[in-house]
Amino acid sequence: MLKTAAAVLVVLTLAVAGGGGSVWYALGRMEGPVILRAGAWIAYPELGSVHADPYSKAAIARHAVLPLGPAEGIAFYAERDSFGARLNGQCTYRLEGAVPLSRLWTLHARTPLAPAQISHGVHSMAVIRNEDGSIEIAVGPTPMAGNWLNTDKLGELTLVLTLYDTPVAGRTGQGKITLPTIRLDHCQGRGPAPSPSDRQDGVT
Amino acid sequence: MVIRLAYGLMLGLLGAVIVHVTVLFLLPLYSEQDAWSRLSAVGAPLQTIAIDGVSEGTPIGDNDPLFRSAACRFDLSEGPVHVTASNGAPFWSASVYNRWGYNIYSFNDRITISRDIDLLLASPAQMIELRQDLPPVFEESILVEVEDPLGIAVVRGFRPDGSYAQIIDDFLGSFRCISQ
Repeated sequence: MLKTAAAVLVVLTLAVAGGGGSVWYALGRMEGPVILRAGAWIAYPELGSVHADPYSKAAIARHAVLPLGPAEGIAFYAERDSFGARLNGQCTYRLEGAVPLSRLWTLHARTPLAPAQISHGVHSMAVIRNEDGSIEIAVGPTPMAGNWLNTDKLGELTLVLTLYDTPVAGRTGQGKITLPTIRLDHCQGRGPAPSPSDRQDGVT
Repeated sequence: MVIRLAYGLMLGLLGAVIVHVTVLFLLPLYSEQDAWSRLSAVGAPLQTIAIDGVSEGTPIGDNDPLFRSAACRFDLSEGPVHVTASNGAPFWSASVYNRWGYNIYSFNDRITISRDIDLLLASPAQMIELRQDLPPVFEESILVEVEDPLGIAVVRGFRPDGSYAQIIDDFLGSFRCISQ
């Protein structure tokens, strides 16, 4: 009798802990199946729409996010560089390439857990462009000539590129988009550097 | 014994799947941390609340630090709600969310000629009434039909740098939600 009760208890604990824990894990990642990928960047165009999947809907409820609407814009997130290594605030990266047609875009860094911004970010109204209209932004902890996004004192971070008033955010403009590539330049002192096996450009 | 253990594990896993799905679907309904609940904690309905993402403890997560935003909760069961804000920001956008945080209507400053925000939110029934006899005050307003009576209106203004602080403060300060 006691043995059966114990067995039931174990099974129930497994069910509740496993079920609850897996939801918690899934929502922490906030990645729904409906995602838009462009190189290292990921966007969630359905996030915050009635058509969103149950995971996105639960994530919105959990994190109190009010996602941008299609007429407002769309946010692209990059957790890794174009070679797949985790982005770190103590490393210097170069963003290169063209940004899709939009009236305005902004770039800022955030930590995975909190929006702890130390700099407000870079935006399209105050950016130096190349002759062909493409952009080059240095992302790193030390000041740099040209366009620079400060990531000093940050560890692992996520880059957020938000396009405002852009056809990309609508349902028609999502065909093929290209966003700037993120290339590691070098890493310095403090903080965990990406392991050499993650890097392919050979720079230390 | 092994069979019993395997059976127990299977049962546990099956239970975990059921719990997972149940929690997932019930979470939005019972969450006390969604946008509506957090805004309720800091302000009354129709009160405009700043939802900047820079300082900690702000109601709404995941905001662009180059933007300043404000929100108001509304309840259409007491009549249509008039949302207004004057022009000012170099770029602004606005969205209407329902109580669960789903974006039901969004627009930006290109939608109006004057670049002022002038929205009239109404339920389908109120909309029929309004269409029959639209008060002259709302002739220029954008009419938005909102099925769910509860919702959140959000206005976001672009703040390129510190020199725009006053302009954006004025812009968000002019943001009003008034029940008609």
